[in-house]
Amino acid sequence: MMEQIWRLEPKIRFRRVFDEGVLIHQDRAEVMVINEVGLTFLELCDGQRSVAQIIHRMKPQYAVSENELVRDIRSFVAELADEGILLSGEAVQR
Amino acid sequence: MSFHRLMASARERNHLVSVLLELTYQCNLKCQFCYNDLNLAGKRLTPEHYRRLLDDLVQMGTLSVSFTGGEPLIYPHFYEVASYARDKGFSITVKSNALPLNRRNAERLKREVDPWQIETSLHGACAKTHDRQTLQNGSFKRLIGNIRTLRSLGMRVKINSALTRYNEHEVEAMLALADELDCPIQFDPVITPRDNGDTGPVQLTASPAGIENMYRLTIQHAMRAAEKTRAQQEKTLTVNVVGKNASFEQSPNRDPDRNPDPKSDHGQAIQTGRRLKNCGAGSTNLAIDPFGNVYPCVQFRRLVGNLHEHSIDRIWNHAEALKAIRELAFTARDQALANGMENYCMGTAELVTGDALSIHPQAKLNDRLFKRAKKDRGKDRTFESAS
Repeated sequence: MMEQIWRLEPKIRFRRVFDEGVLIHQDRAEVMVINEVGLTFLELCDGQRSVAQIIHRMKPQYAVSENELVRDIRSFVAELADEGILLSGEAVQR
Repeated sequence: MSFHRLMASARERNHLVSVLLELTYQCNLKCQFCYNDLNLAGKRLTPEHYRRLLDDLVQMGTLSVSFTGGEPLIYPHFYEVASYARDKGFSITVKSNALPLNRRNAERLKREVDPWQIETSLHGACAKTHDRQTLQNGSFKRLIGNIRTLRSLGMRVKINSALTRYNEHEVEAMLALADELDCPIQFDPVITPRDNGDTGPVQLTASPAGIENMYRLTIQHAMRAAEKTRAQQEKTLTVNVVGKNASFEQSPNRDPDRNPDPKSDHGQAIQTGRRLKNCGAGSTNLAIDPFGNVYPCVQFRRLVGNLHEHSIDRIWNHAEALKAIRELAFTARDQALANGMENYCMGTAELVTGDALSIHPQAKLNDRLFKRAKKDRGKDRTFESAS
């Protein structure tokens, strides 16, 4: 997971609105709101950086331990992947 | 934060969420109630203008773009502009009479634009009524066939219907037809003068009994639909990210202005007396005509800028006319509340009465009819149309 590269599913529409992220799932007709931490992660999730690299970039911005950040981001990525919102690098290449 | 609360915040803090682009006023139909001013002239926006506009809107965090007209699919650069918008990550709505959307064009639209939704117009439950309003024989048959094609391709279609004295007696059949097509349908009882002030279309306004009947039937229909989908609507998944909640929720069908959730920003504002805006015109929305004229809303045609002169970012952040409209929206909301309403259309008010703060009689009547229908949850229907 930590070394994997992720990117948004192409059918997801994504915008920053103030400090929140809005994700629109075209196929499922769902609108999702992501908090500022999730928003920062997704803005850095460009199909180039691994999860570990993104966390490294995020860490100075948050007053939490690295372990806590890693735990929450892992859970966040797993949840988005289950929802089909994030695709792993391997899945993208297929 | 829920999506509705975020959008309420966007309205309060002036975040441009949605832009409607009128690509052309040309149309393959001649609907009797069309509001477009077909004589409007000017220097047309080019595809390059649209690309620059869409680039700016990405930077401004705009979520959605709607393409309309006239008939937007007639605009010769439609696919060039709309697919650029798709590539830029906008949620796209195409407002079309659907007549050009035969299978070949529908497949191309899905492939190149991939819209969130296609909004189309149904003017009756049968060819006789529909074609009477579009003034084109065969338009009903083509529309229904093309909606079926769009649905077979998995595309989302929403049906809009202008309620008129021609179709007010067919509401029940239109609701059934929409169900059969598996499309949501929304009726609008407000027939406005044309943008050039021509009041001819207003003659088609439905009768008060017809409007109330439409409200009753749509309330009953919505209640039946809500029962069927309640379990799905309540689907909520919550993910914790560093102690905060990121909520994923299906868009509820609740209309926040007519039926405010007491926990929502809107509902709480009502309870606490906090001032809200009447609507998102000029605060979350803009409309842009084929000549680059920028308006706060498709129905509120007060010019706030022109893209040939200034960028959208500059207009949004610096146009004095837009600032005035945002202030007006607070006053209009107070005006609505003073009249026992939650909101009203400032644009129609200005067009009909010359004053955006003067709620016109048809809006007051419609509000009264809606509340009466809502009070008894759509029951007690007795309606016979003379049309």
